[in-house]
Amino acid sequence: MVDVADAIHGTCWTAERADSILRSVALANNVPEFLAVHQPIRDFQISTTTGQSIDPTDEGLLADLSNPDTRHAFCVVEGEPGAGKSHLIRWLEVKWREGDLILLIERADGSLTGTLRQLRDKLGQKYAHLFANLAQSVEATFDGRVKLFHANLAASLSPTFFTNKLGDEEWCGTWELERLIGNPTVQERWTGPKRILDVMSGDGGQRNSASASFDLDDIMALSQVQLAAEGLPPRAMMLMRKLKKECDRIAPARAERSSHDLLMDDDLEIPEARRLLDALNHRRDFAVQPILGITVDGLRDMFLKLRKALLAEERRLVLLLEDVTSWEGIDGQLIDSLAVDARTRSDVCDMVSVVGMTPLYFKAIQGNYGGRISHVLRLGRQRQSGGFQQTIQLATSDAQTQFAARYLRAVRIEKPDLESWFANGAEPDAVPNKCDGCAGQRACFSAFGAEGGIGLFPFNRNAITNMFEALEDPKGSQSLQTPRGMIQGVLSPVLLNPTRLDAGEFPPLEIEFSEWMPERRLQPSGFMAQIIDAAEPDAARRAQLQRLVMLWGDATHDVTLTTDAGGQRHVAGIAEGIFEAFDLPWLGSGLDETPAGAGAQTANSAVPNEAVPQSGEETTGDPRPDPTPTPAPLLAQPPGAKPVGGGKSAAPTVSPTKLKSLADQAQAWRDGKPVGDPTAWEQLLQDLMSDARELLPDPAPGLWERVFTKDLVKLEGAGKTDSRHFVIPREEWVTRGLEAYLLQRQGTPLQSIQRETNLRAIARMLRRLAELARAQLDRRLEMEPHGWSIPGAIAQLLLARAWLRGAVSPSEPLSKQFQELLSTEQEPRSLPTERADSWGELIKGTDYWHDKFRLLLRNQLTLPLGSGERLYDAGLVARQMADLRKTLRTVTVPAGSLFTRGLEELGKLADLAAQTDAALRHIPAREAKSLAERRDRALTLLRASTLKHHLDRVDDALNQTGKALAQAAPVERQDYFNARRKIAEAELLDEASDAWITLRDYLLADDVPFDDEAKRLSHTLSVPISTLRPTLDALEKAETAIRAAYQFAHAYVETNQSDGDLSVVQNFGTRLAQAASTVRTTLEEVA
Amino acid sequence: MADDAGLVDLAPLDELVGILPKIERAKERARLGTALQKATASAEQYGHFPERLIGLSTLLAAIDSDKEELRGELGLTLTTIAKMGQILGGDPTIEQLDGINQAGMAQLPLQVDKVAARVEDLWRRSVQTDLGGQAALGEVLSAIPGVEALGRDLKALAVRTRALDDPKMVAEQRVAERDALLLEASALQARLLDAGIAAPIADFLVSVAANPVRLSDLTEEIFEWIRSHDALALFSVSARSI
Repeated sequence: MVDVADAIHGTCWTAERADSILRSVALANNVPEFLAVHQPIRDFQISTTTGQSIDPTDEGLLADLSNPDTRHAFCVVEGEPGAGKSHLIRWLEVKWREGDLILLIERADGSLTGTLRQLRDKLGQKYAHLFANLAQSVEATFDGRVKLFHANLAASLSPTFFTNKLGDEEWCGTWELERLIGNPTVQERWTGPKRILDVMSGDGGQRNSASASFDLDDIMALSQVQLAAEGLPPRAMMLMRKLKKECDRIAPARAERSSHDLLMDDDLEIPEARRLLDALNHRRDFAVQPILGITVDGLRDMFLKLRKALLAEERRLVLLLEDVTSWEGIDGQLIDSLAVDARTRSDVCDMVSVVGMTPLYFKAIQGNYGGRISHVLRLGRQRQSGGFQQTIQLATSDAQTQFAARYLRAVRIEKPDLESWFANGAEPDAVPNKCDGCAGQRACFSAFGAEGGIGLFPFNRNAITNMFEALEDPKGSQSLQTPRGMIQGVLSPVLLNPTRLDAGEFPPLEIEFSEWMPERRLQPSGFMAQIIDAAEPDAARRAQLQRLVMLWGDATHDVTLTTDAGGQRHVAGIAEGIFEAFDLPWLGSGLDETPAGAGAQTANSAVPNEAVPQSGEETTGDPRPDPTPTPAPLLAQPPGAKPVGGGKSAAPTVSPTKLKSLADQAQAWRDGKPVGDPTAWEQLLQDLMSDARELLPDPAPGLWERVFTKDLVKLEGAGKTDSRHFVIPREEWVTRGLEAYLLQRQGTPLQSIQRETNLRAIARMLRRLAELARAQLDRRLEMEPHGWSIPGAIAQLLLARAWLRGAVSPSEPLSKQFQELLSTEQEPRSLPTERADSWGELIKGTDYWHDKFRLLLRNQLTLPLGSGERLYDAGLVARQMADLRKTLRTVTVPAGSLFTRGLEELGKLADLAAQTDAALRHIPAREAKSLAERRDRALTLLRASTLKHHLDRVDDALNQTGKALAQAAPVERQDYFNARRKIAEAELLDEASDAWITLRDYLLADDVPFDDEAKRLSHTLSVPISTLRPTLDALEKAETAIRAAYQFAHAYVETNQSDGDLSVVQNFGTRLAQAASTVRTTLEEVA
Repeated sequence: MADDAGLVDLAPLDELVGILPKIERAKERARLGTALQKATASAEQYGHFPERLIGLSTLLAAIDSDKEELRGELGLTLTTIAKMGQILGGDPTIEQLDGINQAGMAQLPLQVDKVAARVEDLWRRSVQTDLGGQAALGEVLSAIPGVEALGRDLKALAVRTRALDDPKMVAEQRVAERDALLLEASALQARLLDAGIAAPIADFLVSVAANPVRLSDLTEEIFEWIRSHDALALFSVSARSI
């Protein structure tokens, strides 16, 4: 093997050369440097209105535009900031033929004033007079100009302001926008106009193609002014409320997406915000022009005069504008001027203009100027996922590598050599290459790789693509997968610090300084971190190793050790020579070599990666064609070992392909990103929890399933959670354990050492998960601070119920009571309804729940002893049963209200146990007292007779009464006879029957003292209440009937004591008889 | 327990047994009481019937006409009433009382009304016979010049005669009033003759006042009397409708 450390003696470039070459602004470096790094631009999209087809290359474009026959062209180069618009435009300028007047207007400081100054300077003194009256600078401070701009904007929103209507006047009038924007509070607090002027002024040189247009952020800022603004008309206030609602709705999305991105999303329902934005932006130019001091027709007149003058000189004007946003405010006039076609009028010269625009800007002007643009060239293409365009030039890893290689070659060339090359014609194929004569080339190429004969040192192919893909704008305002991103985010941090290589500090710390490089992208996987920790004790050097493996490595989860065809060993895709060159310890020690074809392809393979997508597909950086390798015998589980995953289930519950996806997501999750595929994760976490459960001495059967349901186990950050959720923290032991767990589940071929550490990581994760799960169980089951026995509480509850139902007596042996607990209930034998109130209430309280509790208790007590007949662990509840028997008190339970979703049963258990505890101990005494009262009552009512004798007397008396006086208490008598019939059927009137004898003995027995309440309860259960109750019932009904019958009979007899008064009747009869006789006599006398 | 028994409010079983023999007697008394109560109520309700019968007897005694028919009609009724009165006036049994309550007392008002209706009818016919026609003659004479005063007196007598039919008037008064009217009618008869109104004339005038008379009933004497008293205009002749 070649010793790379010997072959590469330090750096092969200088910081000065790197600084000179790595100019992110295309127009910043000199022409030789510019041409040395120029990468032919190909495969862009181009469309024309000329009818001619153009080869989609920079050369093709140049040939078409610079063709002397081209009299008019208005070419738009569309691309995201940094996508290479300026580079292409400058390249056109460098390559343009002689004879034309070529004006390249750079972005410069981004201000309109600066841009006009640049134009004047480039035209020279000869045409200086054209600018004499163009800009009449307003003598006002910046704040003053902001106020003027704001006031102009407000005034222009009046529905009657413009002579030529803009079309939205009615809408503006409806919401009284003039008064809204002109409101003093809005003027004072709304920062939108100031921001626009800031941008137009170049934003301190940081404009970067930013459009000076009002955007959603401005609307959100305006909506925030709502509450503070006084004196707003009602309609304007209504609009402000609508805007506030719309802005509140998009606020969460704004946190993740740029304002520009949101505005491009047509699905986003923000109608009023969009209309207001349109209204403001339509009036922006009008409002700002008076401040800029440029008259409405000034710029157009200037260009017309220039072109007339050039016509006289028979010259063609070539206007190359790097960034049209620099012209905002008068950009409309500018574009009007560029669109003037010399073929349609004879008084102006021919003109070719090439204008750089961002996609957002281009979209905005397309409606008005689309028809006048002759060429549209797109450097990017829309991604399927939306957002910023993807730069075509750097769409593939090969293109990225080639791009970087040109810069690497350029930084190594001494300036004189470069100038000499330029002086000799600047042939692209003849750019000096320091590698050609390098003595260490072979070793260097072997370790770092090469691209077209250019060594990638100090990068390798992985480093270039990994760093490039990792770039992220933390503000989300731009895409960094652009040439500028490559230069500033990938090449600069490494190449600007060559001294660190000599100091043994490579890869340099500056990589981490870049805000574009997310920290999470530099965190190695768990196993790799372990390897690094083991290999390097020094923290700073460990950080170097981390940068190395994460960026120079193959970005897979597996740590593979391979040897390439040249005998170079690679660990995780990094050649051993790189370790030597960077003076870092080799990380492959102790690793077994991965069999050929099973490991990752080496990062420095000279063979182009065929699997890399060529047409816009996102690259994964993993060139292996088969993501699901067959488990190698190496991974065969030891005999008897329990497989991880899926708990007791033999088959994995998540498919192997899913597992691979989950492994990728787990890495993303480790880096702070959310996980997708919630269903697969739910299942996997269930498997994981199931495995963790195995480690618990008490796996909480019947309860675990309620606490750790699929929707209650979450990875940290995976959705909303509350106290009911078991959140698996995003901590190293989890990320490492998950990584190992998923690898193990996938059956990925692993190094024995990796397998060993993985098993340790899994074991550690499961153990800690088990601990956390135990804590979660304790918390949700309210085991803190003192704990409580759930099976004990259930056993006591069911036992109390069994006693009260008469299923078993407290005096029975404990074993029989235990048996009764777990058995299905039979009909109650204790006549609970005849007992004390609290007796029946306790039973009723558990009527609905006892089956559920019994099932839970069975689960809790079941001993895991195979698949035969169940065996129950009585020991878990024996003490609580004995305690209940002894004290009639239950275990202490938490408040039922503490148990939340999924644990309602436990809440009920706690409530019922508390009720039982409060009531049970009083029941024996109450019931004994009740029974004694009933017994005494029965004896009293029997009047020292036997039941039969007494009732015979009652029967006789009632029968006679009824016979004499049918109305004497008929209902009461009937009730009595019904009750009597029942006790007759119970043979209680047969004095030789067992029923009567038992009852008689109970009635006549002496009171027995009890030394504990359970015995008293046992005794109450032995009382013949089934005969006592009907007997007492019959006796009471006899009493009632007798009482009622007597009352009636007595009243009857009392009422009918006298014979009555006949005098009235007799007197009447006598007089009547005499009168009738008198009449008869009179009749007879006359006769 | 035994001590407590005394405190317990037991049902009066013994008392019930003791009262049983008294129930039958009480039931008898209750039945008697009920019948007596009803009979007493009826007696109080019909207490005026004896006086009414005595009044009817007074009227009967003042009627000179033959009462044979009436005796036949009322004899049994009066006997029944008298018999019931005798029972009630004695010491009636429960059964007698029940019987009288159920039938006798119910029929008594009908029986008394029957007696009263027959006697009153006989009385009215008797008064009409003795004092009838005064009113009609009075009406005619009141319209004939020279005998108007006589006519008025006859009409006044007729009014008082009609009052004798009022059964509400005490029987003795009715009899006395009838006797007085008979005397006054006799005096008026004399004044008629004095005024030249012989009996045939008076009968004709009475007939004319009550009903149409035949032309054949108009005698010369009557015509002459009418003509002489310039009363022809008061009379008209008409043919009987066929």
